[in-house]
Amino acid sequence: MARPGRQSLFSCFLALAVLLSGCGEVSFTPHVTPLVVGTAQPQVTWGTVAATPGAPVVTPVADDFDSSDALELCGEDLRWGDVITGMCLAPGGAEYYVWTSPDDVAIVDADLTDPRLLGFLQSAIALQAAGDRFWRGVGTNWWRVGLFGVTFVGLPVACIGGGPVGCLIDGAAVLVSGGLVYDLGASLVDDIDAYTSSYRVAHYYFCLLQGGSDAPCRESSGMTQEDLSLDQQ
Amino acid sequence: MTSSRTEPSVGEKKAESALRAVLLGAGLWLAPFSLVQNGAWAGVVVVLGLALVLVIASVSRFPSAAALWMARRSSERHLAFWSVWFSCGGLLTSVLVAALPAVGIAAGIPVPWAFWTVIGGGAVSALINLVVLVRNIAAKPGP
Repeated sequence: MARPGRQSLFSCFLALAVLLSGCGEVSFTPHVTPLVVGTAQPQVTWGTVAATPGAPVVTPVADDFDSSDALELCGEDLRWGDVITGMCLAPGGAEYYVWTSPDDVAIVDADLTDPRLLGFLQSAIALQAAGDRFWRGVGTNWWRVGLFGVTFVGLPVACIGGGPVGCLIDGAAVLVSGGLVYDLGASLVDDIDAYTSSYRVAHYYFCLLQGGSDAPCRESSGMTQEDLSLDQQ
Repeated sequence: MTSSRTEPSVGEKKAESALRAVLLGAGLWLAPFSLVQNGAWAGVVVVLGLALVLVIASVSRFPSAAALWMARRSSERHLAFWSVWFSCGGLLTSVLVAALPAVGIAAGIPVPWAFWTVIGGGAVSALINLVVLVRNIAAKPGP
């Protein structure tokens, strides 16, 4: 009976021999489809919009028409942002409704080659994502607060019933659940930061869409360089 | 006929009322979370069931039995302290629960309607615990 070690060594050599013998015989016919590079979509880059201030492309709508009316007209699919800041494709597909407050809705031609409109769209998407993350965080992680409450309120019972050991165990549970609550709070604060940052960026692009130039629009929106980097994450 | 048990002490009454408030408050802030389970029926049933158990426990004999159990193992002074602890814990938890969605509102994020009920439940729970806390602190201390 052969020893397992010798068998392994033999198998290894055999495998190596097969591999080496096959190396010279491989015939490879490349079948590569030529790469067709399409026209690049316009990219919104920090500062490029300011260099090319455009004419206003925004048409105000009637005073009694608010963002809820716009969302109702647009339907469920092609909408971004929320009822406070957002945009949606108007019926017919030729125009977008754009708003930065519920009562301040404007109509913009559906031309996403305009970097101002594209920038607004990106910030509305980022804003919606941050808002959704926030509510999802509250809706799924609230149990951390409940756990903290149970361990905190239960400390007297643990100390009286379990003595010093019970006290220590529950004390540790209070610290752990408190840490979980802190972690949840920090995550929610991050989401709020991302939301408010996207909100400022959206205001900046809305100002540009109204024909404003870079510096006044940055000032009026309160946007910073950091906002743009957060918005692009 | 003699009673098998003496009248509950002031500390015991304080602990009992604080426990009732904590349980009722927890049921009140927990129930609205069944509305944010995104249609996961298991989650809805568990959360609502737990909230119902807490509310029923708050009006049952459990808090008085728990207070009696504590009274037999603690001094009157300790019992009064633990009652304040219960109320503070209930208050802190309720405020935290209400604060989670409330910070979103403060930041201007539009609130889905279900979270208003969470804020309401947390606020009512905080109020109940606060009232009991104040009443227990103001109550005449036991012997």
